[in-house]
Amino acid sequence: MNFPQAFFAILVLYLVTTLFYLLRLVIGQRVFGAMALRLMMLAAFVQTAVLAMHFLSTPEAWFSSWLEYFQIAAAGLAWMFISLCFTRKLYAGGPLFSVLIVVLCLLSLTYDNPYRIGMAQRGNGYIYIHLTAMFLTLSVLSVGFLAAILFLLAERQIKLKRFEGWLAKLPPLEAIQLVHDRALTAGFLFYTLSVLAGAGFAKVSSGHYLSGGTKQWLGVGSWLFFALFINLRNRLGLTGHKGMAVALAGYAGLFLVFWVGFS
Amino acid sequence: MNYVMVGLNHHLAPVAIRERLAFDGEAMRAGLRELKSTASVSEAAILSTCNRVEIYAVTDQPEQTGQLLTARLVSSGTAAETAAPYLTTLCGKEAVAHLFSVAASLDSMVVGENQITGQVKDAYQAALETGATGAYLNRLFMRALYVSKRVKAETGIGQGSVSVGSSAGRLARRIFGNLTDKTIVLVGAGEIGELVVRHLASDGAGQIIMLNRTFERAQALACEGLGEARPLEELPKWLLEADVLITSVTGVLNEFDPAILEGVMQARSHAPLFLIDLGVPRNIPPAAGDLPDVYLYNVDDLQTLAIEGRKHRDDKMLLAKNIIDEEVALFYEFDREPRDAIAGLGRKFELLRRQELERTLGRWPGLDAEAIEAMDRLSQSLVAKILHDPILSLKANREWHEPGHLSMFRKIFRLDEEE
Repeated sequence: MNFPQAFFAILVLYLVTTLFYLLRLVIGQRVFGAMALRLMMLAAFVQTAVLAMHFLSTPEAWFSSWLEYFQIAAAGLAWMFISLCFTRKLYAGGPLFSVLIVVLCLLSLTYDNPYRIGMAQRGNGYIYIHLTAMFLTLSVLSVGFLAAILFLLAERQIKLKRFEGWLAKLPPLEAIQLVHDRALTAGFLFYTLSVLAGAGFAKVSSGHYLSGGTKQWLGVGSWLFFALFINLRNRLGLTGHKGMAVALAGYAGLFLVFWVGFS
Repeated sequence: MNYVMVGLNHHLAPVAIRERLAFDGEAMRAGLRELKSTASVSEAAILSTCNRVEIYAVTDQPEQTGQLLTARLVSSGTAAETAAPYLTTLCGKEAVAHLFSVAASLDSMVVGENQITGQVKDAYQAALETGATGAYLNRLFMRALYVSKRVKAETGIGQGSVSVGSSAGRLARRIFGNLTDKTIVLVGAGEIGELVVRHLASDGAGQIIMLNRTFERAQALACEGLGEARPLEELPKWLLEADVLITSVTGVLNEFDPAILEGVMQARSHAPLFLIDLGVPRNIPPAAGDLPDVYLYNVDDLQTLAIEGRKHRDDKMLLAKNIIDEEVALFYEFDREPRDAIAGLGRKFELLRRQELERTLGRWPGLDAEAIEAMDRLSQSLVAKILHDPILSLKANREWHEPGHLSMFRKIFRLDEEE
C-alpha cells in the first residue's frame, strides 16, 4: 500500500467534508451538514484503518515521524467531534473541527520528511512518551480551543438576541462549557505527562531537566498558566465569557510551543 | 355615532416608547374620567398592556376626536413626543375590526395566547366601573369578547401557541440546556410572570422562588404547589442564587442597577444569569444586559422567538381573519335588528287592530260609513299611543339592542310566532 497517497486521499476527504460544511453555512440547507457529518465519519474510519495498516507494515519503530503523530491527532480530533455530535449535539461545530483536522493532515504530509526522530534519540524511551502525550494534548486541547470559540460565538448570538442561522443550532452554553472544561482537564493531564516526559528526556540527553531552550521555557510557562487557570478560575471569577477569553490566550500560547517545537 | 381608536402597539413601537405611554391602575381611571368629561367623546375605554396602549372612544366627530386623543396620548407620558410617529388612528369598521383582532389574539406578539382576552375584559371592566362606557362601547367590547371565543373555538388558533412562557423556556434552554437543577426566581406575582413560571415549571425547573410585595399573593401561588413564597426584601439574597430571574412588577428595581449587578456577578463567580424583564415600563435598566454573563431579555425580544410559531399558523390566521370580517359585517348589520323588532311590533298591532275592528263591525252591521271611519281612526290612534312609549324607549336605549334584550322583547310580544 502506498501510504503517502492514502494519507493524501484522506486529506481530500476531509477537504470535501469542509466544503460541505461551508455549503451548509452559505446555502443554509441541512442536507449539506448531514452529508458533511457522514463524510467526516467515513474519513475518520478510513484514516484509522490506514493508520493501523501503516503501523503494522512499518518495520522500524513506531511513532518515529511527524506524519504518525499529526495523523493520530487528526483522527483523534475527528472521532472526538463525532462522539460530541452524538452525545452533546455539537453538530454546528463541524466547520471549525473540519478545518482544524485539514490543517493537521496538511502538517502531517508537509512535516513528515524533514523531521524524523534521530537514531540517537530513539534509545531514549522518554521521547515516545513525550511526543505521544504532546500529540494527545494537541488533540484534546484542540477540542477545548474549538469549544471556547464556539462558546464565545454562541454567547454573542444570545447577547445580540439572534435566533436564526447556523449558530442558533449550537448546543446550550452550559453544554459547550462542559465540553470545554472536560477537554481542558483531560488535555492538561496529558500536557503534564508530556512536560514530565520531556524533562526526563532532557535529563538523559543533556544532564539537566530543563535544558533552557525557548521551547522548554514556553512549555513550562504555558503549563503553569493552565495550572493556575484551572485551579483559580472560580476564585478569580474567570468563568463564562471572561474565562473562555483567558483560556483562548492559553491555547494560543500552547500552539506557539508547538510551532517553536516544529521549527 | 362612530368608533375611534388611537394607540400604538408592539408592531411599530419599541418597548422604550410603549412604556412611556403605559397607564397603570390609577392613571387609567384618571384618564378615563378626563376622556369622559371631554365634550366630543361620549364613551371611552383604555387598553394598556405590555404590548399596546390604545384608547377606544365613541364620538360623532371622528376626525376631531382622533386628533384630540392623539394629543392626549402624546401629552400623557414622559418625553412622549417621540411616540407621536408610532401612533395609529382607526375609525368606524377599522376600529371595530382592530378590537376584534386584538381580543382574539390575532394582533398579539404571541398569536393565539390567552392573556390578551383577559386584558381586554379588564380594560372594559375598568371603563365600566369608571362610568366611561355606554351602550356603544358596552356592545363593542361584549361583541369583541364573543368574537375572541368564536375565533379560538372555530380555528384552534390558541392550541399549541408559542406563548410568552414557552418563548422564555426556549431561551433558558439555549443557555442552560435543561432546568432540572436550576433556580427560577419570579419577582412580582403578576399574571404574565405567573404564566412564564408555570411554563418553566412544566419544563422541569428545579427550585422556584416567588418574591412579591404582597406576600399573600405569592403565598397563594405557592399553595398551588408552584414554588416557595418569599418576601420581596429577600431579592438581593436570591440574586446570588438564581439562574433564571423573571421580573414583572411596576417600576424599576434598584437591585438591577448595572453597578450593583456587577458586584452581584462577582459574588456569583460569574455564573450565568438569565434575566427576563416582563415589566412595562421595564423593571431592569437595559445597560444591565451589557454585563458579562448577564443575558437580559424583555417582552419585545420574545416577539422574535414567537415569529417562528406564527409561521405555522398562517392557515388558521386566514380562517380567523375571515371570521373577524364576518363579525364586523354582522356587528354593523346588527343595527337592523331593533328596526325589525319595531316594524314587527307595528305589524302585529296593526293585525290585531284590524281583527278587532272587523269583529266589532260584524256585531253592528247597520253602521254607516262615517261611523266605521271614526272607529277605524280611533283604533289607529289607540294603537299609535300604546306603541309610542315602547318604540321610543327601544330606539333610545341602545343597551336594549343587545341580543338578550331584543329576544326578550320579541318574546313578550310574541313577534316571532306571528311572523
